[in-house]
Amino acid sequence: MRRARVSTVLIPCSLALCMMGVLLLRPGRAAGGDPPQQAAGTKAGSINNEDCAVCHEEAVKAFDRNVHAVLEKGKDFQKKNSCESCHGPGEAHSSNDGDKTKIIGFRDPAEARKYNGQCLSCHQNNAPMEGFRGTLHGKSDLACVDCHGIHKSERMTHLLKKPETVLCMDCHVQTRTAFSKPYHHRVKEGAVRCTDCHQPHSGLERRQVRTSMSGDVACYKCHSQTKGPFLYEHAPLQIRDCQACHEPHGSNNPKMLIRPTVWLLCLECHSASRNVLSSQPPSFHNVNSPRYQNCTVCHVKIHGSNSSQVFMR
Amino acid sequence: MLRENSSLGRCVRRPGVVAAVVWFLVAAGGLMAQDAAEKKEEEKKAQAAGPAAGGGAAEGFTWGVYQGRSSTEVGYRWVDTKGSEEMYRSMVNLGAGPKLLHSDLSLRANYGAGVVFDHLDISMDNWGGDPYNTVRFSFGRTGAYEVTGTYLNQQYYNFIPSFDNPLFGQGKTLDQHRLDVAYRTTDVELKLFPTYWVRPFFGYARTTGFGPGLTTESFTGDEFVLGQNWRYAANDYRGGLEFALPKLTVSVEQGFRFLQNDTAAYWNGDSTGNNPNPFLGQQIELTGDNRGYHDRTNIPIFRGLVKATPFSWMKFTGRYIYAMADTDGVMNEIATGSLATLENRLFYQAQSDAFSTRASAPQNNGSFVLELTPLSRLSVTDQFRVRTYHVSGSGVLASSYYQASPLSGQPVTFPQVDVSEVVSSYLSYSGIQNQLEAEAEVWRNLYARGGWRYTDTRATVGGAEKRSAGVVQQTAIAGVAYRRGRWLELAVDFENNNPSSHSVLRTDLFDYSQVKFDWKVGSWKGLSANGNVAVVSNRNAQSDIDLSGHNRNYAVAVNYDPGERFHVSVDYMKSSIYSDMAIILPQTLQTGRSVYDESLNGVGGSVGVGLYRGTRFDFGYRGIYSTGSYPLNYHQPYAQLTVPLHNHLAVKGYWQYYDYNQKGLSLQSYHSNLVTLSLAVSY
Repeated sequence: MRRARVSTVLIPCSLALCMMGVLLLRPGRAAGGDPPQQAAGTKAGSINNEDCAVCHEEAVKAFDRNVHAVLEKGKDFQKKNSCESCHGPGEAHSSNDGDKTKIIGFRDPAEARKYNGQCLSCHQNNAPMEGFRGTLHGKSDLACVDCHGIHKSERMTHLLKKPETVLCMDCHVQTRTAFSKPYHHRVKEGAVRCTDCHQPHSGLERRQVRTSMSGDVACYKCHSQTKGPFLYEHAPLQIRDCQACHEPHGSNNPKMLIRPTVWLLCLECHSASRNVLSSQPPSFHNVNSPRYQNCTVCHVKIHGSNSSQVFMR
Repeated sequence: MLRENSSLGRCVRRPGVVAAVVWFLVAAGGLMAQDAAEKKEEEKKAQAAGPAAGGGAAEGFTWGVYQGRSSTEVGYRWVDTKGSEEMYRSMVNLGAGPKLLHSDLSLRANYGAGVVFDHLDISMDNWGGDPYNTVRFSFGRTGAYEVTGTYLNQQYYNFIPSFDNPLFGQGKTLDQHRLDVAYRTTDVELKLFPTYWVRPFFGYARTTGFGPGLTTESFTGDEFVLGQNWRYAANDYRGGLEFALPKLTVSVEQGFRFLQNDTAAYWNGDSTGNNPNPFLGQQIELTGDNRGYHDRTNIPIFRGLVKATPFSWMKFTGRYIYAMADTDGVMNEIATGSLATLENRLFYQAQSDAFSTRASAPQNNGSFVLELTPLSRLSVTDQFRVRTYHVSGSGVLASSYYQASPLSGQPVTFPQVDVSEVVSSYLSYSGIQNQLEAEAEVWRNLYARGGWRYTDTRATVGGAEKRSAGVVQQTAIAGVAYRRGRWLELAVDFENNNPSSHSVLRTDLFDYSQVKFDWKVGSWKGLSANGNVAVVSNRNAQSDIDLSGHNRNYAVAVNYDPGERFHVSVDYMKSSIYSDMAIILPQTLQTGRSVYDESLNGVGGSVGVGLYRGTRFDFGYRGIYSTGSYPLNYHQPYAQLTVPLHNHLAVKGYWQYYDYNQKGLSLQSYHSNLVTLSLAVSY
């Protein structure tokens, strides 16, 4: 039965990959980021910033206060023309009455990958850019300039286009609703930001979650009392992280639990089963009695304990 | 003349000074000087620009070599709550009184012009008694150093009458896990020479948690509520070097983490427990209890990171972390009363416990990504993750029982019974995952991707009894995306899992399939829309688990933002979470079912209208309507009126309403009106 299922999945996938291979042989545009000079799409020569300023005076003047001014004035860069560092050679654009097709204008949304190539030509090895193409943002062809306003940004920090939370939730509609549930992390209230837990550029962890210093999920940055190590560990924490029991963004259930009733949540794992990590509570746990319906009344150290194997203290 | 003589008038002529004074008051800033010629120029600019829209957008000020912007908002909030105050505080917790709602300062100097720093950003939110205080800052001199930091102080009040309360049915509303605690987090990082090829960096982070709460002490036959003073702290120190070469970046970091837990629990005067019935004919009572935890954990941590682009068609990123945690734990407790221990078959009058434990946990964590672009239209990504965690511990548990007598009722009294035990325990976990994925542009703007994920998870728990489980899962991944510029994006992703014969935990995603559809349209004259559909179906047919469930989410958002004078945004989400699985009821060992069914509709929207001369009115609504296992409604409308008084001064009125209705449990419902009147100064 299982073999049949494997075949139904893998055979169509293999055929699809073969077809893709055939289609790939035809010439076309680059799928990855192009080097800056090629990306300009022209072999025209360079011009100076002063030439750019003839038409773009305000942008050039303000650029001295932009963090990217280091490209032109930093000792270790000394680019003659910081405009062309990102926009590519500008002579063709300049000599054709500002023809927008002769310069990388970062305005054509279809060219997200090309634009990202421009940014990544410097930033790909920077600290947060760890495997960007493998991230959900990378796979969605999100352009750097979708979130960052390079020349003029409402919020100067990281040149973001909008306040961070607004920016993220413009696209992440489900998450916007999750943070409106009764029990939620205090993002709307301004106490926590999306990037406190997520790394928008890094593809090293699932869902682009940040890690604590020791490589664990970001939850332990604040909730470090639950990390241990403990003499008696509660296995799901180590195997499935906090999401085994909690909804990280928001929940209708108290304590951001995934179930409103504690004993049902616990018994979903603590029912004896073959070949899985499970255990059966002793028979005096009569779940018909309110005394045994709230397991954490007694099992108070549910994240781990140094003095009780069943997390009683 | 009047304006000249008024303090407001003088301030208006010195916008930079006003900003500096405000910051001196609220953030101990030292911005007190400004060039007179620049001030006049700024004033002219401000007058020419007209009233700042919303009182929040200002063109900035000049202070020496710095171009700056600053805003501060102070106000007073009134709160009126009807219904459960405890629930309001558990969910919202915003209080009445004077508030520093927001303050920020940004300074920028031309490259090389700032002596100490050429850029600085500080922002503060929610000060003045609010429960969520934050300060975030960054400053530095380009090419020389960069400092970033965050301070969060979050007050969590948690008292849900029906939660963790075995006496709720008797009308007692004491949540036996009540907490009123503060989490404080400080995180600072210094990077030196951020544009050089060798970059030293240092970081310090501190997290503390403290506050009163309740916990429970369980004895044979009964449980008692104890007061608790919770206190823990974590200090992280780290430093390292980053080598940035043209095609290679290597970063090595050594860190140390020190955790300490000094929580105390104490008898709060309540001698009656959760069980009114006697145990073997004797009523269990507690007349005194003191307990103290003193845990110390040291974790040296090594972290290495490599990012390489050896060829234009190849990128490699790898991160490896090794941590070795050691915990020493001590717990002491003294309890008195009429108590019993089934384990040692004794009634007794007093008990003392002294536990000493030690646990060690080596941990490896690696994550590696290889990106290849062998053909212009094809990219291949391989992601490999490995994590191993092994904790082993041992301890000595020593207990003494005083004035003890056997449970059997024999008329014998032992002045002291000593019991000691050496215990050990361990848990090991190892998990590897490899995901190979190829993406290609198969036609113009049409991308297809396919791949395969291999996951191997194994875990063993040891101690009194040993249990092991492991699973190998193979998952097929496929997807198609069509992107026509930024005005149309369609993406469908599909995953189908081919499980092995069993899972590690009963609730794991096991035999599952997942479909995601994301779409985005826009922007056309300010109109855009986006949404997604995500459906996960999971099944585990193993007879003693018999799990079936799904999680379906549908979301859509529409934005219309033609300009500063008007915007509308509406979003809607529907989710359905369903899970049905077999459980074994402990009291009968018969099979039962755990069914969770949540159907949720979430609606939100906001409208902003620019009125006469910078006056602005914003209003919106967000609501949750949930039916199923835990039905509730939660309405959160708001409105804000901003009236500019001057170029840099605006008055704001803000109203927020919370209406929480828990169906069938009106005791936990509440509704609150929050009205905030504030003054916003911005330069």
